[in-house]
Amino acid sequence: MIVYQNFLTYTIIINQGRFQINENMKPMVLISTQFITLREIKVEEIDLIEDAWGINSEFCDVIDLLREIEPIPERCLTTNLISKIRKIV
Amino acid sequence: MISDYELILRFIKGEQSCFEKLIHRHKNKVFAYISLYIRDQALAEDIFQDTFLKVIQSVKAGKYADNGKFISWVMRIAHNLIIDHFRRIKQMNTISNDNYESDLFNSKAFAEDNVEDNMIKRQIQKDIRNMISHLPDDQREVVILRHYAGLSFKEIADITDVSINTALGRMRYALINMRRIMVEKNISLTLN
Repeated sequence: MIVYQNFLTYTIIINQGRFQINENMKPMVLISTQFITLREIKVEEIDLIEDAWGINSEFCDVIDLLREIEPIPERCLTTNLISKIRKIV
Repeated sequence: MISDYELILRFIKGEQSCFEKLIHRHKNKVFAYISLYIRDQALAEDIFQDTFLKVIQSVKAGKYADNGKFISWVMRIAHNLIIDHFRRIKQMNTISNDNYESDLFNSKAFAEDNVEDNMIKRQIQKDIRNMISHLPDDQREVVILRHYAGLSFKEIADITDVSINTALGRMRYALINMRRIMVEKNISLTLN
């Protein structure tokens, strides 16, 4: 039987004996992995097929390097495009 | 956030600003794909614009059917325009894509760093671009579509008309090749 006093200390009564747990010991629920449902696992940004092949873990050095470049269009390019579209539509 | 399809529907009904929102939402991915595939900046910019103009024509013609993958559809249009371009070049047999030296460093990161950091970053980025450009076309395309356009392997397989396993295999070979080039040319995230 477990009797909770607060988050840090609690008392366990085992059969006839009474055993005081010190504050460094915590209930299992605070140190163990929480159960999560399938819906709670975020997979939107992950390609499961790629993940299954282990590409990201095997080639993390090359992939980190690829992330160093991020080409973006110049602002005037987008502005020109939008003005062209406004003329067409 | 309003979905891509919702924005398209509103655009069809006459809200022009909705298409502009779509452009702002996806322009970086589309530009990254085109500019890394085609090293001539002027040409890349033309194809970038043509892609969105073609998207408008197709949307207006009712050719877009929503399957939740608007960006994948846009990438296919960009892909087809690139293929068309190379076909024309091949027919004319005049200009090689290798003749152009691009300077596509419109990176977000440059705005915040000092001159020295920028120089180092530019050198690293130039090396990475060279590394990508040395890959065979089919491998280069998979790398760009996955890492810069953010498409899944299923979408990449659809666009490039190959099986998912082939796309994964190409990616694997590409990464092996790039790692080999990294070692040969001593490329790393810190300049040596």
